[in-house]
Amino acid sequence: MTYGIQIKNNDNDILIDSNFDHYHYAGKLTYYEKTRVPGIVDIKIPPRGQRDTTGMSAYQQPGDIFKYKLFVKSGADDFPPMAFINPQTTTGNVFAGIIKTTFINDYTLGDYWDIWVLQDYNHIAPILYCFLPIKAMKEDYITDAFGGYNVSGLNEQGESIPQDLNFSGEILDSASIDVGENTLTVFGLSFYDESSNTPILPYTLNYPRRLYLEFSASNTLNNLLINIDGVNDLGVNKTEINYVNNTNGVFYTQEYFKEITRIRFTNVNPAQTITFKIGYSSNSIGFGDRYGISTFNSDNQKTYDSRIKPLKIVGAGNAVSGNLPRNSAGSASSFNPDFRPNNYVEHTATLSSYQQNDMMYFIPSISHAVLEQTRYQSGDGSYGSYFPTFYKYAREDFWWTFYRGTYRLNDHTSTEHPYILTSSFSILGGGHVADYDYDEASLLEAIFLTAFGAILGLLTGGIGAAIFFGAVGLVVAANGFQGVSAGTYFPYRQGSRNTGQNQTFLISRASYYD
Amino acid sequence: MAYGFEVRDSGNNLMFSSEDSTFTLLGTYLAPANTTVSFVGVPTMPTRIFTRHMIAETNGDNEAYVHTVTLNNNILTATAPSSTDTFDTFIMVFGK
Repeated sequence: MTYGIQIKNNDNDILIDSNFDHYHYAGKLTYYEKTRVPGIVDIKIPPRGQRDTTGMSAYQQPGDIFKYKLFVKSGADDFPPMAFINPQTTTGNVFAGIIKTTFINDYTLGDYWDIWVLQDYNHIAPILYCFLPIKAMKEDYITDAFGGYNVSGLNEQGESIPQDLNFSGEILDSASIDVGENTLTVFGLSFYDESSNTPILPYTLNYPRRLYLEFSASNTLNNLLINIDGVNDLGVNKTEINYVNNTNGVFYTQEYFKEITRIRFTNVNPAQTITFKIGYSSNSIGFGDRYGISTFNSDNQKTYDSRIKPLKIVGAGNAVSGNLPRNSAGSASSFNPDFRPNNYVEHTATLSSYQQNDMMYFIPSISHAVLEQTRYQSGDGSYGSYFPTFYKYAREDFWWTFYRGTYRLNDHTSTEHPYILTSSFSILGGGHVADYDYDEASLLEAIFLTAFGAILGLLTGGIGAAIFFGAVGLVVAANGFQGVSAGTYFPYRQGSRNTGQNQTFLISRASYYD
Repeated sequence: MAYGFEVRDSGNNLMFSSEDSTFTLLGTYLAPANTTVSFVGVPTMPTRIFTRHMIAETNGDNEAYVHTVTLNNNILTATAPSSTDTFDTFIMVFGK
């Protein structure tokens, strides 16, 4: 380093280096969509014999997939977020893991990272605390203009959700408009400055500021579109698009406007009255909190800013996943073989700070596994009283389950006891298929046709996985998939991948950022 | 705190101090599917860690290996375990 700043602690750890990007708090996310991989079921039963049509095993429940969006600066796909899982279920053996992190180019809402979390079925969704380098954040101007010290979060519509909703700026005016039914009419709305009774649009501000809008409607709004036209702090004409969906709420523009020229409303809802209150932030760029420390690299990009809550770590380590979720799928003596994971690997980390129910962890999932189970049955019999017909059948059922590696933080029980991150697996998908062979003959045919037994030889030797691989593919093609890719979820025979590889985990505390 | 530094906001809330632990981003690297690749110029710090993201969805039609990673001085080598079934792997290197 020839210039800049580097700060170390007495362990020689580098805490701040102006040459490198530090991760800062970028928002607290709740999920926008919840889905599950549907079970892949295709049961073919013989005309007689074992005709049970049971579907998936009771112990084969796929976990919930929770999806989150983190909006970022356009094109900032080089910097995936560090998404810490803050579990909302701290009792029981609930595992969760980040199974996908994909950058999405969205020309309407803006670019975002789509983050999927797999969690064991039917528990409260975790909250994600996300961190980004400053240069990847949605807002260039991180200085909070609204009296708090947090950067604004964004919901799935790209609406700003400031941490501090107590507006501290100046309210200019309020007005109500009646919007038509099922039209795309553009509505103009003029606000007036009450003191001078002059129109405020277009309105010039002394400093570039973020616009503030409060709204309330007589019915729930469905994607009411609000276009705000103006000139931003760089002197560029800008149109900022916002959608609102609730009956009431507030939002702030992402742009810092120094002139507001027009506000347009486009509505497709039934006719109703919407009341708006308009204002602007009390502070503008650079007029936020003046206390703190910032660093810049040689390109004059900000790499650290104490006002944006830099990432603090209270513990770290490496985790691997066990070889298999359980040593084998439970017995198939019934139609409910047990696929519930029972192999765990514990990793300890001594924490510098902790508070039970406040901890969160970051460790993307890379491991996955497959377990399978087969049930074979065969038999014979006859039907008909006077001229009986004899039959033989063989049936084979095949279950498989596909897992992804997931984790949980064990409850802290004492100050001396190190925290434990436990690796295991959660079920992502799976299925159950069954096929059979069957033949029947009259009494004389049964006596004279040796082929009667030979036909069943196919099954008495086992249908075998090769046949079921094909069967699974056919089922998948006909199956509906809700928000996940169609697939067999059966990539290989019983085994696992990526399980022996160290994956770094980091632990922090949610309360640092609330 | 007898020595070190603290950074506070205007409300006197402690934002960061030399008693905190953290990691700084040293670099991000995308290892392409089914390819072994080396990246040079990885910055060094006394302690370095890396983590990997799967950036594609696993639907069970692919064995979905991730790259194994070794970090030696300023060279990061991402090795594809399979020439046909290794996914794109996003690697993040942190230091302190």
